Amino acid sequence: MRRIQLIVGVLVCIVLPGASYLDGTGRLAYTMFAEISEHRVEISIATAHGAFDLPPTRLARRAGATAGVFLAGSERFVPGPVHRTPRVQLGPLADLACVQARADGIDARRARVVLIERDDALSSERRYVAERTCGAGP
Amino acid sequence: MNAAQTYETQRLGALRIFVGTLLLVRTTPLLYLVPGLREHHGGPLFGWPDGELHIGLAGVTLPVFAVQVLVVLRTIAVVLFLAGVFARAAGLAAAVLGYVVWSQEPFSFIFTLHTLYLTTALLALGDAVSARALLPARVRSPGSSVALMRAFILSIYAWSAVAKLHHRWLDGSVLRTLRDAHYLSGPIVEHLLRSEAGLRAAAWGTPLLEAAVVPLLVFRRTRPMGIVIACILHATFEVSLHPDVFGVLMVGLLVVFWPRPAHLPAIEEQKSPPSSRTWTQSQWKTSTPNEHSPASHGPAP
Repeated sequence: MRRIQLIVGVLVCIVLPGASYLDGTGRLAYTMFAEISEHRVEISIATAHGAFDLPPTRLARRAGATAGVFLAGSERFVPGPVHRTPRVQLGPLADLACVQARADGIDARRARVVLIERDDALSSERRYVAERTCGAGP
Repeated sequence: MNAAQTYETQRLGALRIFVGTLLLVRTTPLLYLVPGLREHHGGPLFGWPDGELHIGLAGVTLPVFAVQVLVVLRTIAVVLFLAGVFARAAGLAAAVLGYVVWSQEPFSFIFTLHTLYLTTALLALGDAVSARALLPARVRSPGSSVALMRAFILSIYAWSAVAKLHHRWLDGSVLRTLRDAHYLSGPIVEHLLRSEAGLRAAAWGTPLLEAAVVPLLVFRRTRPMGIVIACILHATFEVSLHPDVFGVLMVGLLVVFWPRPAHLPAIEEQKSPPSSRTWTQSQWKTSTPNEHSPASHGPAP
C-alpha cells in the first residue's frame, strides 16, 4: 500500500473518529441518531427600564436556514440529535439578539442566552450561558 | 498492470462518478429535482451565507464574500472531479473547501456531507481518477486504492455500532424518543417499535448487525452475505428514518466489496514504481494482449 494512503487511512478510519470522542461527543464518529437529547433556549434582553424575554423563534429567520432550524420553536424543549455546536455559539447568538432588539426599536444594553439541554423529561438539565453587551448599532 | 488491476481501476472510476454526482446533487439546486429530498440549502448552493449569524469554528469568521467565493469554487471542484478533469486535485479541493465552508456555518453539519467529503478525498487520493475520466490521471496503485475504500467503509459500520453501545440506546430510550418525536415513521416503525419488546429488539439488533457486517465484509467468502445484510440495514433506515442520501451513498460504496470475476488474477502491486512505470489508461489499452491475460501476474513493463 502506498504510504500516503496508509497514513490517510489510519487518520480517517481511526484517529479522526476516535479523537472526536475526547470531548465526549463523538461528533465525527458516525453517531448519527445514536443519541438524542432535548434543548430549550432562553434569551433575555436588558434595557434601562428592566429586562424582558425575546422568543428564540424571533431570531430564526435572521439567523439563517440551518441555525434557524435549531432556534425555531425552542421556547419549549425540542428533541433532536445531540450536537455540541450550539453550546459554543451562544455568544454570536447573543450578538444577534442585540441586532433583533435594535430592529424592534428596543434600546438593548445586554443580551443573555441560555441553552438548556436534557436527555429526556425525567433527567437533569445542563445549562450553558453567554452574555454580550449590545453596541450602539449602525 | 494485469486485468484485475484494470478491473479495479474501472470500478473505482465508476464509484468516482457516483460519488461526484451525489455530492453535486446534494450541494446544488439539483437537490430539488430528486423526490424525497426536501432539505433547504438556505441559498443557491449549500453553505451559501443566508443569515446575519456569522460564526466560525474556533473564532475564525471569514467575510461573507469570501464564503460565497469558496462555495462557488467547491462546486466547480465537484464538477471537475465528476468529469475526471484534474480529478485528483479537484476532489481534494472539493473536500477541503467543503469543510472550510462548513466551518463558517457549524449548525449545518450532517454526517451525510461529512461522509461525502471524506469519500471524495479518499477516491481522489487513489486510482478512481485514472479511469472513466475525461483526463485520466496516471495509474498508481489500484489495489491499495480499493483497500483504502474498503477500510473506510468498514470503519463507518464499526464506529456506528460503537456509538450505540450505551445504556440509553440499548434500553430503547433513544428509539422511543425518536419514535415519539416523529423522527421515525413508516411501516416498520408501526409494527416493530410500537411495543417495548420491539424497541429493545431493534435497539440491540441494530448495533449487532452493524458490527456483524464488518467481519462479513472482510472475508472474501462471506462478502455477498455482508453486502446483503448491509443493504437490508440501509433499506430499513431509509424507510424509517429517511437519512438524507446517506443510505444511497453507503449502498453505492459497497460495490468495492463485490467479488471480482473468478477468472481475473490477483492484484500485485508494484513495490516502488518509478515514474516510467506509471501509465495512463490510454497507455494500458495499447499494451500487448499478453499483459492482460490471466497468466500474467507480474508488474507492468
